[in-house]
Amino acid sequence: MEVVAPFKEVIDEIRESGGEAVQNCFQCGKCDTLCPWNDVTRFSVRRIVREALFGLSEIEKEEIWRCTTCGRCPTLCPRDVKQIDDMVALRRIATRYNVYPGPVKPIRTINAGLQSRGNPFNEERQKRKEWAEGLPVKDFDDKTEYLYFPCCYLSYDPRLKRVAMAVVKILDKARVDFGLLGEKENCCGESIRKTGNEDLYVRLAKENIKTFIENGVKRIITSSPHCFHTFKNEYPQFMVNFEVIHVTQFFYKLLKEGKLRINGHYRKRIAYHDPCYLGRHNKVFDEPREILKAIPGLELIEFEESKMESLCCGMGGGRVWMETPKEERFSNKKVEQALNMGAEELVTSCPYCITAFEDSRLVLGLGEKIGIKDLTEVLEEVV
Amino acid sequence: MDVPSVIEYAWRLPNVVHAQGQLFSCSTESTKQIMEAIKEHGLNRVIVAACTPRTHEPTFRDSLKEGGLNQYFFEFANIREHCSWVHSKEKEEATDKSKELLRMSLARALLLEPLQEFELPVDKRVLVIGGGISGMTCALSIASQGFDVYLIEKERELGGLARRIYYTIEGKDVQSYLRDLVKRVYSEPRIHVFLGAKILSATGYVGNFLTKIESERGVFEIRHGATVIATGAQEFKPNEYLYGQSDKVLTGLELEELIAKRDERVISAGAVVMIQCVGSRTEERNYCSRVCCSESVKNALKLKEINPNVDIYILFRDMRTYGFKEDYYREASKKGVRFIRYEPQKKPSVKLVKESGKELIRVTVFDPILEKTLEIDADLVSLAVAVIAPESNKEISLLYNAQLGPDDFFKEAHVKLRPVDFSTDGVYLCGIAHYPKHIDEAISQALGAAGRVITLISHDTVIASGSVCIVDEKRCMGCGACSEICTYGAIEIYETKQGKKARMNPVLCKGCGLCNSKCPTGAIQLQHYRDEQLFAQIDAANPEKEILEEVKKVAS
Amino acid sequence: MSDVEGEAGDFRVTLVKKPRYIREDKCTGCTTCVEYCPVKIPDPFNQEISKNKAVHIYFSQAIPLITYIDENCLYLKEKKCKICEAVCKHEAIDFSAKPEKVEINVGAIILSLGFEPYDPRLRDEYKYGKFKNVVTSMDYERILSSTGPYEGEIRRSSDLRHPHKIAWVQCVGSRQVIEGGNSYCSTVCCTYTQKQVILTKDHDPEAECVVFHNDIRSYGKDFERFFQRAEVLPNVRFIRSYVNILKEDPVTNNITIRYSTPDGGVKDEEFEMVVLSVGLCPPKGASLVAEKFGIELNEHRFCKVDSFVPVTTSKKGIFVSGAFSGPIDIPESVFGSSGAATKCGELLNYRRGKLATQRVYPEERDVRGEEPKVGIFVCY
Repeated sequence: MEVVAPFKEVIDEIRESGGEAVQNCFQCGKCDTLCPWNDVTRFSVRRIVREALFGLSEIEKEEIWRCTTCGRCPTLCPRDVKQIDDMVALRRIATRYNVYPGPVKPIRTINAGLQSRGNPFNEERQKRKEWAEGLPVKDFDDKTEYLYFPCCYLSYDPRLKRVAMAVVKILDKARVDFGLLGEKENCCGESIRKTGNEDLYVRLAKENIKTFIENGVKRIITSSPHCFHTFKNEYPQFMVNFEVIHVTQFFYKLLKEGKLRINGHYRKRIAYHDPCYLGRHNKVFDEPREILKAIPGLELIEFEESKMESLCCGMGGGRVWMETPKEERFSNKKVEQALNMGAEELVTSCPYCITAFEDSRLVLGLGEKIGIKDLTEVLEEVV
Repeated sequence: MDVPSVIEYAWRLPNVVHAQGQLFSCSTESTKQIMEAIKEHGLNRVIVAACTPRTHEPTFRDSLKEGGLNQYFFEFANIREHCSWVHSKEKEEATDKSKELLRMSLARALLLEPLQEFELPVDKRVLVIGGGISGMTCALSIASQGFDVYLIEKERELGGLARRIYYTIEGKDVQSYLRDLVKRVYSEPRIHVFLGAKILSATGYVGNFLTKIESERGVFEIRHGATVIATGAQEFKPNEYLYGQSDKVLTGLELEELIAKRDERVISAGAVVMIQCVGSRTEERNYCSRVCCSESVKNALKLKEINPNVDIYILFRDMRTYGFKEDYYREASKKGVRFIRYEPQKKPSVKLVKESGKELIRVTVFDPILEKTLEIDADLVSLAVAVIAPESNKEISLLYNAQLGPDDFFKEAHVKLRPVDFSTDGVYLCGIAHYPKHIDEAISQALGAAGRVITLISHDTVIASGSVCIVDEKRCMGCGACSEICTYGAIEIYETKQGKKARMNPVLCKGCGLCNSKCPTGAIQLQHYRDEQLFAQIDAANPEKEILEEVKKVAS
Repeated sequence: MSDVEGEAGDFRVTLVKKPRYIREDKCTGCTTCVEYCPVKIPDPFNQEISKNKAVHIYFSQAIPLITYIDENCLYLKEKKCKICEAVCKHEAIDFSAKPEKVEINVGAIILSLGFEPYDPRLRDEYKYGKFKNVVTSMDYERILSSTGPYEGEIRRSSDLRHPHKIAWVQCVGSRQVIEGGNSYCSTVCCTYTQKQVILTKDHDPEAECVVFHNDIRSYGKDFERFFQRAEVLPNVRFIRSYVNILKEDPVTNNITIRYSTPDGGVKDEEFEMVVLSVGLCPPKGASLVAEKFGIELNEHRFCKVDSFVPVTTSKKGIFVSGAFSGPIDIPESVFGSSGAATKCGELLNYRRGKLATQRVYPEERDVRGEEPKVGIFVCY
């Protein structure tokens, strides 16, 4: 049997990196029973937390990179162990030592892209607004009421550009006064922060904040729950408070106020997937559902695990940039679940989820059997 | 079992004029029914087929009294413990056995005789044995209600185990509380304190005890109506984990003393390991000492308070910080105290090592979550040792006929119904003599015992059972075997013209029946359990015999 | 209790007695009215598992053992029916009954408000009310009872079959700093669960019982032996893990529980029934009572007591006993109650015995010469 001694220096480093809450753990195992990884492989959050408590963390191993920060375990942890903070703390240490195991190696490239061009794809800044060409949208100036912040994925990813376009069309129909910052904006930094690159996050965030302030931004509409989350809950650490609203919330408001009218039908059976960062992290459950329910012909069905229990797509916490073997993808499970429930389309409202589901659809060869849509795309068809 | 068929059978037994079923015979409504049936049907014998006489016989006897019948015409057939519980799987056989038990009870009931009870005077003074927090609290409460208390303590100082406790987990100062309590005891004129006391002998019974003590103040005979046993408990001294071999290994109380005195060893300690369940939850002492988890957490929090840099490891099996104490367990975790679970088959081990000229205790323990063995170098190791019953409990148990449990703590009359009483009347129990407990729990129980004592001594008399032994002098040959065996001193041998004869003092007789069975000539009979009554009951077990010939006829 | 005035030694308490719509002096408890009552309601005493009538006896050991009329009565709700009035031969039904004010003068007050079992509906994760065969320990207690909803047979509500594989989930609502939970330990659940396991095995020796916990807290006298008694029973497992009540089989209504073991990793296991070992909460209305009596509550909303002065509230003359002072078991409640009584004795000693009356028994009948006449009473 291996004999080990508590490693004081590592304990201190973990604490200083924000993992202090590991000491709250009373080893009940609840986190393990909630963690979606245990649907696909064997993984123990409890063990990682325990190792951290004694400074015995193995930062060179893939285990510390698994957490998708879905938020299942911390919301039901009886001891407030703050597992996300703990995992991030460990990744900060790994980042500090520049240790990235095989499947995590792409993070290096992502870091480079974010650093130099403000997006993870290392795409040109100038192209950030290309998707909006020909669409009724203006550049944001200090008289514009709302900033629409589409996020890197909606700006560059061909599949997701369609979502951004749909947003613009809906906003225009509702005569909302909004604009884009285009090349001036950076990645929000949410996910890179979760990979432990705090410095990069701070840089991205500060630059964004500076841009927002300089351009007189007060209200921000986001498509990505990740931008939504970080603007709303993490940017305030820099003593700024923008009014942040997710598109689903905003559309719901427009519908309620009569500024947006549904006049079409959408005759489909739809399963709605709660994105972790919209649902569990920010408790936005009702607005997306209310929108879908308001659409004539649409039949909304619920996953057995939904809302607070929603199964993560697997892309949060920077996992979107890491390699996950096919058989370990949560999104495969989710798409299959939707199919088994008889859903014709799997609808959600997060670019990461869409990316994952589209991928699963492809991998599972379900091309024609099920559609993957952003809620915005569904709404755009009926307004 | 099939109760309706038992009732039907009851109707077929001789001399039965009424039989009925009741959902809960002991409920107020049911006992009223019994009382009314006595009047309505002119009953002169009542049999309840239900549970144990130990808890419910007084209830039903009272119904007989209310019905204008002598209470000794009551007979209990225990068809619960003796039947339905032990034969829960054999419904038919259990039903048959119930009928048999009922038939036997009837045979005895027919031969029962009316008996009269005695009223005994109650001495209003109380003896409290043990001058710890429990004893003092109990004494103060009794005294404040106008009764004299003799408080005897074996040590030369009041305070008991609490003298070694400095603070509670809630942060209260025990020593100043204790000083105040002692002061209140000494300033209460109704409390008579005897220090350095030893009980030489004790005789008597409820309302009338006589205890002879030797103390610093000399030898005294104390007459008292009630006795409270508050003898406390003590700390187990282990012979493992290098205890006694290294001064770095301490018990929890010893560590607490160092903390309270801000000893240099505590202030400068880099790492402290606490090992739980030392001597508790073992084969030898198969019980949990209840307080140790919270006590270790308490000490850990205090250590962290005075020395925030100290690393503390608590090695435990199950953390038993029950109730609100759970909050302190969590607080300790939050302050960085590390808790490591160990299984009894993988106990931690300790050894003395020298590391860069410094002597340390190296503790190794297997962590089940890490699946690795952890090695911790500690400056101090604190053992959460068992709380054990003092050897002297056995002596006191004999003196006052107060039962001990399997772990030599005193055994209450009934866990739930009479938690501070003994089955011996007039003797009460509180504090850690009963079982390890925290100070607040001990105080609460001490007050509870005071309440029970007051219930007794606020009356002028107490009723003694009519079921006592009587001597048939004609058959007595004065051998004295009876008086020798009687533990209550109830039998006197005296000279008559016909020679030596035994004479019974019914007030002292407790109806235990020892003399009865010892008597070679059958001169002594225990009333209510006379030979003919018991023989009839036994004979009725066999339906072929005696009076149940008749029963058989009826039954067929 | 609607009002309290005065001070230690002289309190005036106003009580409002709710109408039972049954005349206590006339009702014999014959239950004819129950037989004829057309309204079925979920039986409040049996945890609403089985049905009872709108007029019924609360439970079989109720005192007095007579009926009362529930507010779901057709007449009370819609002025219809009154069948009970017609069938009662004792003219005991009284729909004109009104709440009655009773004033009492007392020297001291003991608050024995008890506790409220934790309501697992407060958190979705427990699936109570969602999965049919998830019950609370209070439900299970009634299910085990011979006067319970299934007359002492262990059945599950989905199909009324006998479950043979049952899981207990410990610390439900206890030992947690999650919203809707309590941070303290409820003290009694470990041992009552062991009792329920033992009783389950008595009912069905083949039953498989699994208890999921994080610590077994057998801290009380003889509790350790009691735990061992449960632990050694065949097919009984105590597993150290909190759980995720994962899913319900749509056909069998069996429930899958996910738990974590350090050596075997995470495992899923199916059960036919799940018992939630719910913790103890402060009694309902504790805050209101505290306000009316002018006593302080602690941070958990139980009655605040000083550890050196237990059974005593922050107000003179008002004492506390039982679980209102915190989660405690029966023996401790009993000696604490006796302690509260003695504190009243200390306070009111100056007038001890002044209100006592002698109990007088009827004169004893001389039965000499009578033929034995035996009455036999058999307890069910």
